[in-house]
Amino acid sequence: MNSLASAFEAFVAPHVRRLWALARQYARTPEDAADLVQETFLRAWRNFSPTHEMAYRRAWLVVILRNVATDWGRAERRRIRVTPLDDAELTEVILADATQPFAPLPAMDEARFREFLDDRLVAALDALPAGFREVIVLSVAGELNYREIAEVLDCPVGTVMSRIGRARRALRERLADHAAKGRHCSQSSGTPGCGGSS
Amino acid sequence: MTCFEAREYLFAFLDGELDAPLSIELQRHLEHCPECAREAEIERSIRRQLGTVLNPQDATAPQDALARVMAQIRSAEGRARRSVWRRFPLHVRLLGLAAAVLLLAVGGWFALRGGPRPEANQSFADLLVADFQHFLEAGKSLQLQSSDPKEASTWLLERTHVAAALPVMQHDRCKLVGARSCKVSGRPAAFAFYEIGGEPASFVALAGSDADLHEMQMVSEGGRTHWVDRCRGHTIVACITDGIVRAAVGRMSEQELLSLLGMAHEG
Repeated sequence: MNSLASAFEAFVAPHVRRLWALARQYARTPEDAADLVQETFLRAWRNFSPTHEMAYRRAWLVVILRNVATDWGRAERRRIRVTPLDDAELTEVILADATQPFAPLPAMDEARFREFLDDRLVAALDALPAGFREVIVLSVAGELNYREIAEVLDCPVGTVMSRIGRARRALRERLADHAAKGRHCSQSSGTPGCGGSS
Repeated sequence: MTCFEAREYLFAFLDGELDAPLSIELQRHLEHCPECAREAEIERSIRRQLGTVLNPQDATAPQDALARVMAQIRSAEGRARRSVWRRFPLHVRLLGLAAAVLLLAVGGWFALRGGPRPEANQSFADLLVADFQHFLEAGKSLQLQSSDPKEASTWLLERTHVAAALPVMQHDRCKLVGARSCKVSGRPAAFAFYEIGGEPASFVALAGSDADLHEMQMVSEGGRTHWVDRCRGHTIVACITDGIVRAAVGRMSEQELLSLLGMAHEG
């Protein structure tokens, strides 16, 4: 019997799916994502202790996964798609976008919006600054709440709330840009630069 | 709440990160402001779509990754434990074995005797009221903001594996605000937050039996049975269907709370 290993397995098992979804976002290929998850488990095991307050928190596993991704990003950047930013870099990203935090969101025609949402969302997401993309990935793929994201990014919950608000706003603005371009293309088919669905 | 404030809180609201009073205020605003409601609907669409994009269908979790790591861990641990044990002389190993047997015997005796379980002194009704008060006072957030009982029931089933089966309300006085997963006595439970005539009320569902409700008063009317209790100014009603205990807690009348269980009398 190995109760510590069993406790570790019982703690990790419910989070495999979310860690995998997150790893798929951080890593470039499914193979790299599988390696990322495996390395996360091994590092977590090496540091797992039932007396360690953080050890039973889901966010702790995400912190480890993010640290592995950071190490990989430094050593072999080709394996990493979302580069975790350090706090100073993230603050710069946010400040650059903080001039009008609660300005009205760009208006969008709802029917048209739904029509193009599927294929343009990935492009809009990829076009976001890395720091914005990461908070959305942590929130949606990692299904972490704001308190957990604050633990992962080591910042106050209020900061997470404002970062996510600005990230979603930036995403919405990019989607509105795509929608405007799409409308322009559909009105003037054959316009150079409007062909294809890239 | 103004439209400006509503837009400020909208993202946190949709993420289930606003505390209950602010959520209720924003929900009310959305009910009366078509523009903000439309914005919320667009953002919900984006959020749903983000969920699909960031959790692609081919992203099946590598369940065997954990199994492989655990096999490595157990094998390494087993080798380490055996080598440590063999370092001791025979008489020390025998003494250790005797101590282990003694510990097992003492532990077994306590287990058979039925040692105190956590919360054993607290009745089910007491637990539900404490949980409800904690939710309100600690400003705990709802993980899902929804006034659609079907959507909330599906969400709760996915998160807790408990069939909450939230009823469709027949009148506007009772509104579903949102839901969260929680634990009651260590059991996974579905929690839904309601507003009845402006007053907060909670719905909790979890796997259980009538043994959970034995301290409550049983009421049988018209071929249906429910349980009722009062505790710290709150009324608690409960029923059991298919091995699921459903309960509602609030400061309102028993009849109003029964509507959350889909058991209100007509008229």
